[in-house]
Amino acid sequence: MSESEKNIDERSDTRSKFWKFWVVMVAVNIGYFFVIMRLFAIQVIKGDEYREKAKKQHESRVEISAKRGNIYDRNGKLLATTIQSLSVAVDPQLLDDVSDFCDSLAKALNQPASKFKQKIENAKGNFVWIARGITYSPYLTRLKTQKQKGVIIIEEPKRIFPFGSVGAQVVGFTNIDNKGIEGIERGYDTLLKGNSGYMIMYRDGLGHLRPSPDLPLIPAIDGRSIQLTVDIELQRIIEHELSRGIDAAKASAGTVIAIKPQTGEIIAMASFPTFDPGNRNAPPEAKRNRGITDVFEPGSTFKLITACAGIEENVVTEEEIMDGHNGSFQFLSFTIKDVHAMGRVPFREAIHQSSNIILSEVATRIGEDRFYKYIRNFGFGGYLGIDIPGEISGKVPKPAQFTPGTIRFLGHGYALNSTPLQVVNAYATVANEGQMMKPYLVKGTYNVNEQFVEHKPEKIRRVISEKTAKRITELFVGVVDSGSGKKAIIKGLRIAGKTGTAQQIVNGQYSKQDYFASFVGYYPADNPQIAIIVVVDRPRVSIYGGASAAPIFQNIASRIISINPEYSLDKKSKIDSIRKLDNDTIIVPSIAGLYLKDAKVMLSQYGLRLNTNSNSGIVFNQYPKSGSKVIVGSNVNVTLMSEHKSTNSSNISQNIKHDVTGLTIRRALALLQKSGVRTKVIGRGKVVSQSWSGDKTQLTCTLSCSNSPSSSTLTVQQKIAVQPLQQNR
Amino acid sequence: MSNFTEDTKIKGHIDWYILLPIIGLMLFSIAFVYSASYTISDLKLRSTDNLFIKHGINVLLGIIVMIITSAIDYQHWKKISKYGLIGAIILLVIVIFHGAGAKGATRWISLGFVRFQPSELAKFALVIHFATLLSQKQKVIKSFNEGFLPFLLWTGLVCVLIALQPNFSNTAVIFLIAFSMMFIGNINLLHLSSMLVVCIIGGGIFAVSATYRLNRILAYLGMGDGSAATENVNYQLNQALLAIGNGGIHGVGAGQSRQSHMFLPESYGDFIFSVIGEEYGFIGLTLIILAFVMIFWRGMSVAKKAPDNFGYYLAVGILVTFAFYVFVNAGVNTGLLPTTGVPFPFLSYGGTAILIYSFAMGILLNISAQANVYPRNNFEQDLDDDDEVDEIKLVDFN
Repeated sequence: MSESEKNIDERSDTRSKFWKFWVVMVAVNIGYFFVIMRLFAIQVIKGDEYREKAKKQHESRVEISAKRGNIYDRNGKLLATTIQSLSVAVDPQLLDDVSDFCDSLAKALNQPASKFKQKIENAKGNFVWIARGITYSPYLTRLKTQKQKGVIIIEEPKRIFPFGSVGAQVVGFTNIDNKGIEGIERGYDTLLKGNSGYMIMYRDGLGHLRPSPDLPLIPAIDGRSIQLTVDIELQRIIEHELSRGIDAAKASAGTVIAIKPQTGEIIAMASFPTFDPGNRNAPPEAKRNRGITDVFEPGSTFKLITACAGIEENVVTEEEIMDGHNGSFQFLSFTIKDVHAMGRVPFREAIHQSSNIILSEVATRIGEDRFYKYIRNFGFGGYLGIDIPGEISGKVPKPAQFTPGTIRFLGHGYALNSTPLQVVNAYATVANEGQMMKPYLVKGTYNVNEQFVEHKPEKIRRVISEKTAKRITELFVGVVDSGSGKKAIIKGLRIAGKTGTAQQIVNGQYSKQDYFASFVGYYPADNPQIAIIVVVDRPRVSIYGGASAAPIFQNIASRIISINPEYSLDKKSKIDSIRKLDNDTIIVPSIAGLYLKDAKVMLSQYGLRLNTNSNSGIVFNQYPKSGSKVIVGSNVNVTLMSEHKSTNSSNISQNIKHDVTGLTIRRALALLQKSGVRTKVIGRGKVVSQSWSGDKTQLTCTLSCSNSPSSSTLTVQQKIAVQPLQQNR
Repeated sequence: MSNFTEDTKIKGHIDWYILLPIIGLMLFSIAFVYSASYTISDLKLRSTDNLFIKHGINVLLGIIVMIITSAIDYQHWKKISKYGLIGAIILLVIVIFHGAGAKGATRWISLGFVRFQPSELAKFALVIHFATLLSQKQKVIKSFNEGFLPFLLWTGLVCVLIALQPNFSNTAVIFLIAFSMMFIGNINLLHLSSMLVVCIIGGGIFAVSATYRLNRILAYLGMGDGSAATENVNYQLNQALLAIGNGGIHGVGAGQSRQSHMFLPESYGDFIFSVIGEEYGFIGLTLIILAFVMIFWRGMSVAKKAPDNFGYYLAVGILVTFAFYVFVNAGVNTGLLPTTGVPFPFLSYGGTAILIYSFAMGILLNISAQANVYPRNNFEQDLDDDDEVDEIKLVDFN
């Protein structure tokens, strides 16, 4: 058999079994057919369903946080702004040389090393905060760039208050998440915080985000800035004088409010004790804005209302002779006493010497309903509507609730509760010729285009006629000139004012020891520019308003006049009192972490100039350093961290936003820090959610963690991340 | 033999209907791999085109290998098939002891500059040697000792060695390839069916002997216990389904795949089918499947017309191998089969695989040239065609 024949044999043999060939042929084609049918089911029939699922997985909504607005005083001085600060945390398991690290950190922060060591030693997990909210310093910057093993440097926005405790109760403060908690920060939180925006970004399986021009982007609107009516320099003087006066009187607390009668603008609002708004752990009594949150029985200062009503209703005149009952008057079961006992004297004299007996007599002449109307019209027993949270209304009994003695007690300032603001606003009303204005603290806000929108003064009502107001002013000028308020006298200045001394109710009874000493006044009497109330709580040296409160008023008024003889508040005050050592030397403030614009404002209020070759960014380093002494007008050289100027989304791609939900903190931090993101961690365990803040260069990620590890690790990758990106500002 | 082959050689040339789809798939695969790999390449190798360039080079090398192989008379492989298989087995032994690991298994041999997967070589060595054996033993094929036992032993040896890596999916596919060749090679069906039963039982035990394989099977059967391992399997399948489903009818467009962005594991390798499905949709995947169907049909007709039994068995073996890998990979990607890692022929990234597939295709093309499927403009050629030939001859004689 030849080779070829054999082959032919083989072939014929094989061909006889061609059914097997066809079995293979058909089997394979059935397989392919199944695949195509399966593809048809997935892609054509259920395509939309899968597309929807895929979209959820591929796109993620990224929150774009807004920068919180600044708070300025009436002269544009920066009272509150946001800086980028650093926080230091360590992973005790990874940190090699604990004591070396603690020592160098201690040196840099000027704090005891033992404190840090203790924190590290007591740490249970693998993450412990060592120091939070520290401003930039070369050491920390180095620490950050070195990426020492086990050391975690995190950047977060921090609210700072350049004037510290000055005006703290008014400005208020924010919590760790930059939400306003007290004062203007709370009242205007919505405006200050702005609107965060969002953008939809493509997301990959590791959580990296990439922007795409086809996807929607809603930019964040930064918080608006606010200008207050407060003059921070006067506020500083007032707080200083208040604390001095309280020391002198050995009192426990006090409050001062200065208000501009024509408009109702509050020029200063001070409370003692005060606190540092940077320290959220301050005691609650220090955080209270006593001028609006505390009530007291006004006592003699309330005689203004009795006098106004009496003269307006013509039931009494200045010259009418009235009976002072020689300092003691009994009716029903009550006795009213005068400190300065008088016989039959003109009404004028009764006001000057603050006769309780005569004023209570006037009150009865006015009559319950009419007097009640005047009390209410002067703003007592109701909210004045000041634009800061926390105001209380006080309490005035209604005529129906009056007992036989009530009208007399009201007449000299008892039987009602009022706030210091209500009292000073009543005086301001008289100073404004009987026209009551609504007191307010926010002079205006900046709109989206950075244009100033002024809040207009609001008239509440006319309480007394102009004529009556003038007569009352003359009457009360006498109080200071020749009556109980002599201690408030300033030579050459006519001040209308009134002292007040009111017993406090302790355990339901009038105390023989605890008093409110107060003085309210306004000046100059013929064209009042300012009305000021001083309330001193529990003075121990002298209980009397004339002795404890009037001198404080005098000191405040004379200092205000010395810096501004024209009494005009709208002229920018020329004082540069901030840490000024003498006429030309000043201590350089710290401006690290501030945005360039804010840093300029801040330096200018110190009389310093900022020198830089860049026109945007965040101050990273400064020379001279903070705390050094320089001549006023010196330059401060600053180094700025670049701030990406991109205005369209495609440029943001440098910022990769990791989705770290579901990861352990350490993994999350490692990932985030690799991409230059600062992080902030709340809790321990696995990351449950994350949020972003800051702008492009200053991106901060806040991680909220569970304390217990979440059960599923893999669903994580399918979770839709909520992450952010700051766009242009 | 020499006369015969030389005669057939000049009768025709290679089948363009096989060559062109293959070249097309290979060239398209460069684009597929680029799109599927640039994210991971960027992330892991800091260059978006690293894997793309390597793959491009592999494809070009593959085309060269295919052209060279197609010019080599396939009869030569008959002479060296035994040594080829022995060599492949030695490599399989080496890989067990000195292999480089990937995902818990040692499947690779590192030759310094290139990593090499012996199981890829072993399956074609087995196919070629089985074709040799089948063509030689047709006379005694029904006997147990002479006909069945040699095949059983070779199959057993190769399968056990690959199973030891461990690589269950390749073991199973290679077993099925061997089984198919034995079936088509007229091995006694009784022997074959008993082998199948034994191996299904053995394979079943082997499959559940490792937790990860058990988990995959449980996950496939929808009986996952929610543990990380089964969830992971489900994750891969879910991601593959999301990719394919996201593609819809038309696909999201070339280079627009999002699932390849770190969602799909092995997006440029075992799961490239899903990425193609996402980018080119039902139409794209169907065209790819149809390209393989075309290759398969043309190849089968080549096999049918092969000049000898060796050519017939060799062609069928090669085609069945491709068919199995295409089916298994597509089945895994679409959830028809349990999740396992087998590459898609010609489309997946992978140096060894492309070169060896090209080599196999080269052999098929050489057979096609000799089988006269695509005849030259030659009057005589029709006469040598199958069933019809006889009729034509009859007509002539009449």
